[in-house]
Amino acid sequence: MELRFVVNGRDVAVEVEPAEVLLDTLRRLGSRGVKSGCRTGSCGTCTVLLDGRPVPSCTVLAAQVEGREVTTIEGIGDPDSPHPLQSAFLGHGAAQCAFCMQGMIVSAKALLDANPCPSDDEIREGISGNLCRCTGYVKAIEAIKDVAGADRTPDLDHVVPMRRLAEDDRYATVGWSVEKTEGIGLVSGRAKYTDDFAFEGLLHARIKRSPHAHARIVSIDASKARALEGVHAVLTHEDVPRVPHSTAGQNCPEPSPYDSVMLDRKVRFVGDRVAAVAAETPVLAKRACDLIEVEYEVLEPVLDFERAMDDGAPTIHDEDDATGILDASRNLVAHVDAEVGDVEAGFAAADRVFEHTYRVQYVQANPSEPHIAVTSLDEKGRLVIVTSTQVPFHVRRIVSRVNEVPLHDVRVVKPRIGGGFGVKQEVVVEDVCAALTLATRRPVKLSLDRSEELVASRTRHPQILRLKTGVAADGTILARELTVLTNTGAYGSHGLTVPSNTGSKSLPLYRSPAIAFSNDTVYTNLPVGGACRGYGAPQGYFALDSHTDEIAHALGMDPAEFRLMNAIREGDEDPIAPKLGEGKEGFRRVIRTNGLAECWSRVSEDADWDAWRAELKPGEFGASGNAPQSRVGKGMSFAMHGSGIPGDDMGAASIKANEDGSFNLLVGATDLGTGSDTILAQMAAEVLGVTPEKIVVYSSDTDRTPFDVGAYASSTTYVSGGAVVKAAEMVRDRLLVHAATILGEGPEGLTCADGKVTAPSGRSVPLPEVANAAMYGEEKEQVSFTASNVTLDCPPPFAAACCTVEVDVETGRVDVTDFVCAIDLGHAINPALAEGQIEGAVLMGLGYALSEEMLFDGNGRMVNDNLRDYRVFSSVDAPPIRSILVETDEPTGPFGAKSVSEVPVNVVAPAVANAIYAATGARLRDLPFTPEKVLAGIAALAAADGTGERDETGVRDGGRT
Amino acid sequence: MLDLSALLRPTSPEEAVRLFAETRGNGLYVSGGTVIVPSGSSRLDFLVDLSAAGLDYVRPAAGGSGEEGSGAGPGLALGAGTCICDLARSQQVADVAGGVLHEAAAAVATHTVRNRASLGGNVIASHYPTDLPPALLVLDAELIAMNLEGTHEISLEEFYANRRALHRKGDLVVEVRVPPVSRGLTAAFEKLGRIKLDIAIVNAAAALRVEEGGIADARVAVNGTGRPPSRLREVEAFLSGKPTVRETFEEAGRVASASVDPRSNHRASGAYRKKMIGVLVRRALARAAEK
Repeated sequence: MELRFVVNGRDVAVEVEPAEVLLDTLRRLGSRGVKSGCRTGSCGTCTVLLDGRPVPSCTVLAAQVEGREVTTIEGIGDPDSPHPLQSAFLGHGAAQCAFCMQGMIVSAKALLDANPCPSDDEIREGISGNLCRCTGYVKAIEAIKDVAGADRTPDLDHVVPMRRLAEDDRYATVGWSVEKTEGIGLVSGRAKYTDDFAFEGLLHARIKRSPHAHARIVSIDASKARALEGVHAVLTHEDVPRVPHSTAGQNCPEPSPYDSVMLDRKVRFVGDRVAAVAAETPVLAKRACDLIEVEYEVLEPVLDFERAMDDGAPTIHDEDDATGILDASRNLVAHVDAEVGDVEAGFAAADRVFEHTYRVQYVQANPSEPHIAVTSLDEKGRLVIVTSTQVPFHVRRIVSRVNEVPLHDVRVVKPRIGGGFGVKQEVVVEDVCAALTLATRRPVKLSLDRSEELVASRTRHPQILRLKTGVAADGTILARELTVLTNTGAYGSHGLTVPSNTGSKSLPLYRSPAIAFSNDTVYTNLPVGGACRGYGAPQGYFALDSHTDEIAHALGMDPAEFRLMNAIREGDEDPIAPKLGEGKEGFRRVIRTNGLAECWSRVSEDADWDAWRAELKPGEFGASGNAPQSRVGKGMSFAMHGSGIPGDDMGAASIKANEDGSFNLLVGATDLGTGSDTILAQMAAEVLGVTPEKIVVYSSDTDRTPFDVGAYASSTTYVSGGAVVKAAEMVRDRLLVHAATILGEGPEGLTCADGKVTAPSGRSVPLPEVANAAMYGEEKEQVSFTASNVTLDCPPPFAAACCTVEVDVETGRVDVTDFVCAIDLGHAINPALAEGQIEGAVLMGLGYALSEEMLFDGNGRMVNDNLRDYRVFSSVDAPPIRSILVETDEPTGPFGAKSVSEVPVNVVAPAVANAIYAATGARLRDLPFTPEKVLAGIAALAAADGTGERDETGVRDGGRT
Repeated sequence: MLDLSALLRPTSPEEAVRLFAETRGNGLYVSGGTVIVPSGSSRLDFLVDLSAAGLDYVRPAAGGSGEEGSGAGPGLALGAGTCICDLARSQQVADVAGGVLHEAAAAVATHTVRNRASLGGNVIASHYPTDLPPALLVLDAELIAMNLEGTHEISLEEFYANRRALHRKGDLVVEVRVPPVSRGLTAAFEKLGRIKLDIAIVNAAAALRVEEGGIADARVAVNGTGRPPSRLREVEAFLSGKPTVRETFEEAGRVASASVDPRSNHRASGAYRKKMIGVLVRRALARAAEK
C-alpha cells in the first residue's frame, strides 16, 4: 500500500505492508530514535506524536496515518539545536541507557505543549506511558519541571557541575556531576544501539520455541520451512555442533554447569529453543517457524521446586555429556555450605530462638531494550558480533567454542545498550545468531520480543529461605543459620554462585559469632535463572532484614537500635567471606569504611522516623491514612554488598596520548547505560589533569580494547576504575619526562593539573605542548600504556532505607507513599549518576516487592508474558524517592570509591515488608505483596485475635522461646 | 506480529460493513489497534480500519429528550471510534451523572494508550476486564450496530448477556448511545489493581437517584468476574427505597459479594474477587451518593 504522511515536517510517500506498524516504517525512514521495546504499547520507547498527541507507534498500523502528521524525537530537537527538554534530561542525569528516554521526551513535549505549567501529578501522568528501568522518574520529573513554565533554556546551574564534597579540594573532575560522555545525541535519537546499525543483505532470525515444559524431540521436519521462498537457513539440533557449555558470562572455567547446547534433542521449559530460522523478513521467519513440524514425546515436567529432588521425580538433565552438575539424577545442580563458629552451641546458649521461612518469586529485569545481536562476516571472513551484552569478552569465548570457530576469528562489539541488569551477562542470542550467519554467510539479526525476553532470557532465581537466629536477652545475636532452596529453572546458569551470594552478601551484615549457610540449587522445567541486579542478595536481604525486624519487635526493641547494635563495624572482618567465594573459597575481607550509621541517621531524619516511633503506642499498629480504611506505616532496612569479585574480576584499560593533549581511553569495561564510560573518563581526566572532554572513550570491542570481565558484580567503578587510574598514572609519568626535557628540570616534583605541567619552581608548560613534543619532538614516541587491575578486596557499600506505605485494609492494596534511601558508596565519582543508580534500583525493588511476578499455568507456560500484565512501576506508581549519598573514603578504591549499582535493590523488599507490618501488624513472608496476600495477612491477624493467639509482641507464628 | 493480506480503509461505516462482507478470510475491524496489533494473531487475514470511517465523535444524541421540564439531561452519542482520551477530556462526558464515564475513561491504561484505544474496542474487548463497561452499564447505554441489512440497537446489558446471538461476524458497533440521564442521577466508578497502573482485578460502577423517602433508582455493574461485565440486579433490588446511609451501602456490598461467583485466574482468586466486588460496590455507592 502507498502511504503519504508527514514526518517531522517533511512530506513522505512510502510503500508499506498491510500489517506494518508505524514504528517500523519510521525506523525504515531513518528515525532511529523510535525504539522497539515491547510491541504491545506498554513501554513507550516508540512514542511519537501523531497530530500532536503522544501514541505508542508499535500499535499504530502504518497505513492508518495516511495524511497525518508524525513527530519523532528527531523532530523535537537535534544535537545542533536541542530542545530544552533534551538539554534538561541530559543535564539532570535522567538519561542512563536512554533507550526509553527518546519516547519519554516526546511525551514530555506533548505534555508541555498542552499544559505549560503542569503539577507534579500531571507530569507523572504525562510520562506514565514511558517505563524507565534504569533511572526511574525522579530526575526526569526534575528535568521537566526545569523546562516547564518558561520558554527558556533550562536552568542547570545547580545541576552541572555539582560538587558533593564541599570541603574536599583534592579533585578537579572526580566528584562532579559532569554530563555523560555520549552527549546530547543520547537524548536526540542519535546514539547507536544494536538495531541501529545498517547491514547490507540483513536476514532476520527467529527461534521456534517449545510449547512443552519437558519433552523429547522425536523428529523434526523442516523441509516445508526450508522450501519457503526467502528462507535462507533452518537449523535444528541435527545441523549445529553439540558443545555442552554454560551460557553464563563468567570467568573461565565457569562455576556454572555445562548443561546447555545450542540446539538440543530435548526441550526443558516452555520457550526452550527447538530450531532457528533466518529469512528475508521477520514475517517470513515467523511463517517458516510455523512450518517446521516437530514430533514431541511429552515428558512429565517438574514445576514445583520443592518436589524437584523427590524420589521418582523426572530427571531433567538425563543427557550424558553435561558436566558440572552435582547430581543430575536428583535434579540437584549444586550444593553450598559454609559454617563459622558453632551454631548449635549458639542456639543452645540463646535466650530466644527465632525461625521463619520466606519465599521469593520469579521476576525478570526487563531492560528497556530486549536481547538483540547482529552477526556478520567481515571482509576477511571473520565473525563480527554486534550485541547488546554486558560481557563482550565472555561472549567471544563462548561463541567461539560453541560454534567451533577460532577465538581470533571472532570480534564482539558492544554499542550503546538499553540496560542489562544482569540478564545480559549471558549468551542467549549470540551463539545461534552466529550459527545462522555461518550457515548463510549473510548478516543475521536476532532480537527477542518482550515475551521471549521474559520467558527465554534469564530471570531472578526464586528461592525458599529459612532463617534461624538465636539471641541473648539483651539483643546480642549468638547464632544464625540460613538454609536456602534455589530454583534455577531448566538450566544451571549462575545456579551455584547466585545462591552463594545470597549467603555471602547478606550474612555478614549483622555480627554473629556463629553463622551457618547452606543451599541446594535444583532444576525445574521453568524459565532459567541468571544474574539479576543484586545477584542473590535481594533474595537474601528480603529474608534477613524481615527476620531481623521480626526479632526486634519480638524483643520489644527499636528496630533501628537492634540493627545498629548488631551491625558490622569498621575494622571488623567479614566472617563468611573466606568461606564463601565465587563457587569456591573466598578471600579475607576487612571492613575499612562503614558509613551505615550515618546512612541511617540521614534516612531517619529525612523520613521523620523518630516522630513516627514516638507516636506509636505499644502493641498498636499503623496510623490513620488519607481514607478511613487506610493505615500508614514506616519500615526500615539495612543492607551491604560488594565491589567486584575479589581475585576473579580483571579489568584493563589502555590510554594513548594525542598530540593536542587529548587522550584515547580504551576500556573493556561495558557501559550498560550506567555511565561507566563517563566516570572512567572522569578518573582518567583527574589523573592527567585535563577536563573530561579531553578523554575520548571507546569501550567494549574485543578487537580494539583490552580485556575486561564485563559489567557485573558492581565491579566497574572499583575494578575497572582501578585499571584506568593505573594506566593514566603511567601515561602521566611518561609525559612528565617529556615535560621535564622542555622545562629543563628533573621530572621529580612535576605535577600535571589544569591542562599543564608545573614544576616546583612555578614554571609550567601546557600539556598540548608536551604531547606534541612527545610525538614530533626529538624523542619521538607514542605515549601509551595499558594497565590491568585485580583486587583481593571487596569493600562493601552500605545502605539504609525507610519506606512509608499506606495500606488499604479492605482491599490489601499497598501504596508506597515515600521512600528514602542512603548509600555509603565511598567517594561518589559522579553524584548525579550515582543518585540515578539508587533511584532506579529502588524502583526495581518496589516492583519486586509489590507487582512483578512471572506466573505460570499448570503446564509451565508463563501466563503474563507481556508488560501489560507483568507490571513494572510506572511514573504514577512510583513514590517520591529520595536518594542520599553518604561518602566515605575507601582506601582500596579509586579516589575512595566503592560500588553503588546493586546495593540499593537489597533494601527495598524488606523495607516494604516491615512497613506493611508497621501499618497493619501483618507479617508477610512471601513476595510479592499482592493485595490478595496482604488482605489474607490482615484477615489472619483478626482470626488470631479472635482465638487469643496473638502474643504481646505482635509477632505471630515465628517466635519460639 | 500480524501477517495480513489486506488492510482496508473505508471512509464510512456502510463501506466498512460492505468491505468486511466482501473480503475473503478471517477478518476483524480495527480502530486504535492497541489490542489487535499486539495480539500478533496469525489467524487474521485482513483488517478493516475504521479510523477514516467517521466514527470519532462525542455529541448530544439526536432526538434525545433533554427537553425542558423532563428532568433529564441530554443523551450522548459517542462514536465507537472515539479515542478514550477524548472521552476523558470531554466536558459533555464529565457532565453526565457526576462523571462516571469520565472516571472510568481516565482509569484506562496510560494516556498514550488512551490516545489510540477506542471506545468501541474497550466495550467489545473480552480477554481482560476493561474499565468502560461498568460505567456504561449503569448509564443504561445502548450499542448501535450496523450490518448489511442496516443498523439496529442493542442494550449493552443484553449485548454482554447474549453476545453471540446478538452480534454476528461482520456486525460493526458504530456508536455507543448514552440515554438522557434523569436529573439527580449520580454515579461513580471504582477500580482495583495490584498497583495504580494495572489491568483491573475487578472494577465496579454504581449510580443512584434519590427521592424523598429513599433510593428511587439504583444501578450497579461490575467487570472482572471472568464472565462478561454485568449489572447486579439483586443489589439494585435491595437498594430500592432504602435510605442513603452507610449501613445501606455496607449491606449492598454484602449482597453484591453474595450475588457473584467470580472465576480465579493469575490476577486473583475467585474468592478474593468476590470479596472485593463487595468493597468496590460499597465504595462506588457511597461516592455516588456524595456527588
